[in-house]
Amino acid sequence: MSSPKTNNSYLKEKIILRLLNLPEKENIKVLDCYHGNGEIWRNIKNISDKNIEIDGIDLKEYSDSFSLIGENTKILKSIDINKYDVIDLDAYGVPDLQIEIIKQKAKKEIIVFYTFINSVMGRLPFNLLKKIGFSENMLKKASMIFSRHQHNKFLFFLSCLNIKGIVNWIEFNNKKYYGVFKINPE
Amino acid sequence: MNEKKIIVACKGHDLISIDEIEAFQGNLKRITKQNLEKLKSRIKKSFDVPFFIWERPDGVRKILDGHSRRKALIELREEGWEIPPLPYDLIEAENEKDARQKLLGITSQYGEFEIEELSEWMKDFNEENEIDFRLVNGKEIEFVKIKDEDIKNIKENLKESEIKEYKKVHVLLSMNQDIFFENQNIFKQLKKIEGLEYEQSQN
Repeated sequence: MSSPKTNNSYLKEKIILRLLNLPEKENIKVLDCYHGNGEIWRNIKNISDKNIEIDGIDLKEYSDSFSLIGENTKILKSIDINKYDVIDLDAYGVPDLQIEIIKQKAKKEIIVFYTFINSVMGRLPFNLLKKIGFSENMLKKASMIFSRHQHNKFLFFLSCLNIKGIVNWIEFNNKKYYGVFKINPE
Repeated sequence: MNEKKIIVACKGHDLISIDEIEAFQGNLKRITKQNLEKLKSRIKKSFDVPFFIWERPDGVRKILDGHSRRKALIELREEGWEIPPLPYDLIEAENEKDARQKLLGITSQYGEFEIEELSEWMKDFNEENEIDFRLVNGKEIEFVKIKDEDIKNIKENLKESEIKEYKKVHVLLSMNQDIFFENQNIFKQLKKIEGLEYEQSQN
């Protein structure tokens, strides 16, 4: 059985980023959309004094973690995301669809942690490129050209979704970006 | 007739009074006041899931799963609710150590769901979406050790950007040799336009 793509390199850095950006409140509810074996948030619970409740989603079943099994986009569309103070998108790739759904449904401030991985040989998701204004025609002719400066384009994408405020991130080797921003309702 | 009576909507091995069962968990899993109130509201509608109980050799019955529900039921009784005998299932364990391990497996600190919360989850889901529930017990992990210098390092390397309004025009110019010079003239004109971003292929 092939194992799912996972990326828990820089585990410590991801944990610290989240610890530094938790909401102020004592009781926090987290939706971890790429839960895996739950390592990140289990560590955070172990360190933090806050009362953190975690609901996990993953496409695959891990024998050492609790998860809801299913596609996170389907689950995000189906549930009340406003129960959560934090939504974690520790994706392998670009969580553009997930961010769009969260922005559409958010009725309160939600902190979003994301992982963005530059695909060196690949291209950015068409959904993201179209959102920032590249036409279907352009993408058909030369999508690789428009896939340069990928994280910058990701920030443009957030702007096009009318997400405002500050994004903080740490970058590794110009390839992996671990960041956080807030989504507020319109 | 007492309208404040808990309705039992599940079956188990047998029935038991909440006074006959003892807590086993201690402070392993806390429940916040807010969640306790939510749980009480749910139980007022019906008691949906049997307790899981371990019976010691001396006959004492200890809860393995259902501590929060027991706590909620005790509070409801103090508020005037009648608590009937409730369904339970027995979990076999060789000794207290075995029972504790099973307790951790059922209500692992990694599994944030209690069964009550899981049923709440299920109510929120759209039936059209196929979502598979699987409850898997959490194993212990070795926790990462975070030092002050690790935190300092992250803070120093953290980048920040304001999400700015995005106003750009995307232009794709052909590098076809037949129209190359014509394109270069167009390109020169375009470069004079403020706010225009362009990307040229190296190929």
